[in-house]
Amino acid sequence: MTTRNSRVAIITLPVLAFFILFTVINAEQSHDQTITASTAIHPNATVYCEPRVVNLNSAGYLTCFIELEGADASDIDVSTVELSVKGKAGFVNAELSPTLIDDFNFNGIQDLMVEFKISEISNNIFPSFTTPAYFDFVLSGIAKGFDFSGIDVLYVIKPQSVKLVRYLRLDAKDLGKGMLNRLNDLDLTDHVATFNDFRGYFFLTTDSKLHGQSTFYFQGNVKTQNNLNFFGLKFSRTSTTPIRVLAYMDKMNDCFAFDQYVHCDGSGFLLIKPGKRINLNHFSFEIKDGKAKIEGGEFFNDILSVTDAPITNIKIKYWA
Amino acid sequence: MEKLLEKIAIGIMVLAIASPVVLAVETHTDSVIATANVVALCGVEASPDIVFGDLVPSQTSTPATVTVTNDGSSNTLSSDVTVEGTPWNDGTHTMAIGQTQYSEDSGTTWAALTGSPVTIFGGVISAASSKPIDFEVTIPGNQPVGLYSQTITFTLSCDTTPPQV
Repeated sequence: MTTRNSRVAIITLPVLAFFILFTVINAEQSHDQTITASTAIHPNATVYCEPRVVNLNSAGYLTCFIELEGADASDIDVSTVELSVKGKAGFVNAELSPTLIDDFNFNGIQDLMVEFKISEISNNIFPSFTTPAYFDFVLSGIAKGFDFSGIDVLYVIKPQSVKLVRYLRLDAKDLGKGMLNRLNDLDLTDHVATFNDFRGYFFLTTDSKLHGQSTFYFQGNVKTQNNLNFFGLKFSRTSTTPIRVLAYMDKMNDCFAFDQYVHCDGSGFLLIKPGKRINLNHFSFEIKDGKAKIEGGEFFNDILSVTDAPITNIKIKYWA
Repeated sequence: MEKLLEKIAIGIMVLAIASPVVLAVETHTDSVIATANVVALCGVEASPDIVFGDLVPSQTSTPATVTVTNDGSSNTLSSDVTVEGTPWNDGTHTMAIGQTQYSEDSGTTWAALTGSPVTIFGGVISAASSKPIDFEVTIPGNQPVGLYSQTITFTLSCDTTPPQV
């Protein structure tokens, strides 16, 4: 019995030792430890506002455009959008209406247009304004549950009232291609245009009594392509059509001038020959650094947008 | 009485049959020579979890340092240390593994994290010692917003020829 048990032990002990050793070696050969990395990705916001010079005496609106990276403009909860200024207390909520989503800067990405009452900016953020200066305007809000913010640098002024501002530009200059950005019903992808004339005035006694008119005249050629289907045969014909465009601002809501800077918000219409008359519920222009920006449409620049129109010879006259 | 004796006898038989080895170990008297290698123990710890915080597309995080420790018991233990990762995920969208980079020299040079094990620290981290490794992440442009996470795995492989004692 003892001999038999010894044999069993001689067989089983090395086997057990092997399995124990095998197990230990393998268990200790490779160890893993995992950690978790985490991040919250928020939208990256690019902000652009107009007018570039904010007149705190204005009864108008500051119009801002928000373009997001990582989310769509349509993801923005407008009720969360607010404006603040670095170094200043207070904020202003965006107007819930009007808002508009469109590609306002023609880069293929949709933007959200929101507006802020300049009177609220003046009261809430600049209650004791003294010296004109550049300020960081911060637009913040929430999109898809994630907060975002973007900065635009604007010049803030509080000018004395002027009685009459007159501006003239007489000699025609070519506009670069693409400057005449958008006109409904016209293909302007390949066109040449000349900025012929720009003239106007406004008469300002107080902010509530504003009179004047401004006209902008362009002419050029638009290349259009007509596709014809003649009994199943497809033909394509390219033609050049001369056009004349007159943009006429006859109602001024908010205009001011400061040094060689002029800004006007109002409404008017567009005459396109050949073409039609198009009402511009929103019509604005800005003269700055020898260039004019003229924009109009139902809301902003959804019909007409002319940028960098050369007006180096413009004369701005003030009668105080 | 006979039944009681019968039950005791059956119980002894069952016990004897069921545990011959135990009985054998308990009762054998022959000497048996057994040898065993004492395996040097090793283990790996890495901490803390990385919280890069709030980022926006096209932004690179500030580096976060992770301490990797070989909590093994042998000072002479040699080892192979590797790191690998999984793609970033927020439950809906993903972001490439390689958006995470690591640096073994405090940010002088960076290497992209991969989904396969890559040796770090020259493959060696002494037992009972630690080494730091920095991580950063660069968010691609237009990466959809979300709460993303990624698993980073450190593996410590012990030397397969440990010293004998």
